Amino acid sequence: MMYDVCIIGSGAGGAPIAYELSNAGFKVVVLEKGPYYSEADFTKDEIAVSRRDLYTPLLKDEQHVINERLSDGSIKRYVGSEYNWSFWNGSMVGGSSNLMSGFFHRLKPNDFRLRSVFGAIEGANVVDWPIDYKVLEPYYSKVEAVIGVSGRVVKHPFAEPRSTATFPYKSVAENGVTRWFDKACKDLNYSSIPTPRAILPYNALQRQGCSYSNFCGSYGCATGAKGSARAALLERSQAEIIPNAFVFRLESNATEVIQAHYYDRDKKAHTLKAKIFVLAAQAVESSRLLLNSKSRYFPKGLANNGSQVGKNLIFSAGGAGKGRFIFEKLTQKQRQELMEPGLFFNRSLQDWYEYEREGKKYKGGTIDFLFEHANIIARATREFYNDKGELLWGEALQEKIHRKLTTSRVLTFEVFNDWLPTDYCSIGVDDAVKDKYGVPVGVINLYAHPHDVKVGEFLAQKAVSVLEKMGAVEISYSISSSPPPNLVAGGCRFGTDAKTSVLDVNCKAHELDNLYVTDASFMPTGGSVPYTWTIYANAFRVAEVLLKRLQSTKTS
Amino acid sequence: MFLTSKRLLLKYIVWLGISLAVSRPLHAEGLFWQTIALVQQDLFPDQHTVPTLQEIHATTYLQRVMHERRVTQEQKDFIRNGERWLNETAKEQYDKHYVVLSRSQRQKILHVISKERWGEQWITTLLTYIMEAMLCDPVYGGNSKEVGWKWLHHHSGLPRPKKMLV
Repeated sequence: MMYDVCIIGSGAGGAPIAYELSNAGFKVVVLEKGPYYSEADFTKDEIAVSRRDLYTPLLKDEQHVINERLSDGSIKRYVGSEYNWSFWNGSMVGGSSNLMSGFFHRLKPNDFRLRSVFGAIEGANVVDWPIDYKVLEPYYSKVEAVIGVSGRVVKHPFAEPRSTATFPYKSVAENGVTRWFDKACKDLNYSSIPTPRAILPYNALQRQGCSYSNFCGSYGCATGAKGSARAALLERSQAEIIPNAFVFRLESNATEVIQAHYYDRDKKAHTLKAKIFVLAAQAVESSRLLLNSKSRYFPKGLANNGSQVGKNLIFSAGGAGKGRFIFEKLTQKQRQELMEPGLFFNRSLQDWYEYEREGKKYKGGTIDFLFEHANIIARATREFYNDKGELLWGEALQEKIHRKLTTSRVLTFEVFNDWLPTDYCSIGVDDAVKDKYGVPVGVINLYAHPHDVKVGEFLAQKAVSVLEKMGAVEISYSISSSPPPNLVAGGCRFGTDAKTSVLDVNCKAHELDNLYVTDASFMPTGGSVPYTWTIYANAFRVAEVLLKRLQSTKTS
Repeated sequence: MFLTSKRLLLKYIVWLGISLAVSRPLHAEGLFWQTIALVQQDLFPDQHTVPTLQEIHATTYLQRVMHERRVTQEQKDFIRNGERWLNETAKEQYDKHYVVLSRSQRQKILHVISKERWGEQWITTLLTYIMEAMLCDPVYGGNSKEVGWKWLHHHSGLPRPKKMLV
């Protein structure tokens, strides 16, 4: 069987292609490494989901090698299974979009021209994107409608231009503590933003609305309200989905990919032919597959004769912090509001998306605020130490757990700022360490530019000022150069110059006629927001290009 | 089985001797779990207002964990090695096995090992599995009658698991 399109990976980068092209009548197949979980399979099972990482591979079976570049320039090598260091997200149909919290922010116009607006930064490979915000805007709007983004448009200093006046879905119901937040921001002259969420507040798009089950991030959505690639797109497409299919090599001639080689769950090898191949296996795994697909035409890996595959890997820089609201400082009504389960705390700050300090212009970022995750075991284990850092047990521990979990609640924040691309942060493959299939594992060469931490610190202090104003206690934060495994991009930059990029403006490999990469790999810089909305939007943009290409081939 | 009286303790020592003569592996396994159960009791003692270890089935929960595929072998080995190192410390301090020490002596041993890196990690590991036993969905064998959730006024997310997934 010859398919029109073979998509490798079923997450936010692959699913829009499957949705658009299969619904237009083309033969589309999606190869997904993980299993197919439906909504009926998703439960709020903290043990399986959060404590045993049910949705990611066992590290002894599949892992990464991490080479961390230290401040003195030396490299420390970590084999993932030996250090229990995982870079996996959601390995399942729909990918990690099943497990996202769905904080949806668009990039801003200046995110597309960081180099032009903010200038070069020593040691960083910052470039402008080959497209601007106006090109992507219609697809951001399309995502709002098709995936289902709920929210409320408000004016603020860095509000991005919109082609529609409002979100298509009203905000999900909010906890009363958001009013405390709004007041604190008003007093501080900050602009409180209701965070847009990829969550349907009511039944729509042939999906059920949110059930306010009090668990969202890290968990699959049992109602389909969350706009995962599976619920919103794949289950409304005509594409053939093959789960448990691990693609280990793309075979090509000099100009075209001919077929994908994949193993099924029994490690039996298969091949699959298509006219067009779309790679969207998540940034690290997409580059890994290309680098593992060596041939006489591409001795350094597929699409890598220009030695660009795997370069300029980025994450989201920043960190997290928290503050606690305690009953002693609250009225009875406030206590009830605080402890109300299920309702969302959707608030963000972007007042410092760009800022000046000592006459210098900085690219800043986003601060999202949310309640501490409802996972009760995790919350209890966080109380094992007292204020002096001493380990507790016995009655002292029991008293502390009960007091903290029943008479207070923690509001957390997450800082998102740019992880500057550098020569030292990249993806490779390791010939010495192989996965359960015998395939060389991906290598993550890790380095964070010191500038990233500086910006993150600035933003975290702003978040702290809000928590202080709200009356929180035990306020703390941590900004570090640790990479969040769920916010990863780059490795196959798009651009106009084949010498400095892997993909062209339409995310087609410069070196091949029928290979596209549509996960976050294409991003030259990441912006200062979570990536999912941009991945979806760009994939819809590429889907339109592919649709025209296939339609023109059909009619010619 | 808990060593709640001297009589039981004497019975246990006799049984220990016989077991040593008959089957060393069986004895070792029994003594291991005896020690673990007692450490759990010392870390999370019975109190009127707090779920008891019996109610949350803390020891049988950990026994099940030791067979879980998604718990690494390193973690399982560490739990076992920690018990051995605990007893080595007890021998050094009192020339006795942990299970025959008095409550205050056992607390002293826990304080001694908590100052060691391995000991601190071992105690937090055991405490973590006590928390799991107390606050997991009851399908996992702990938290009977949702006693842990009730203690912390916790509302479970829905839908809840109908069976163990790990």
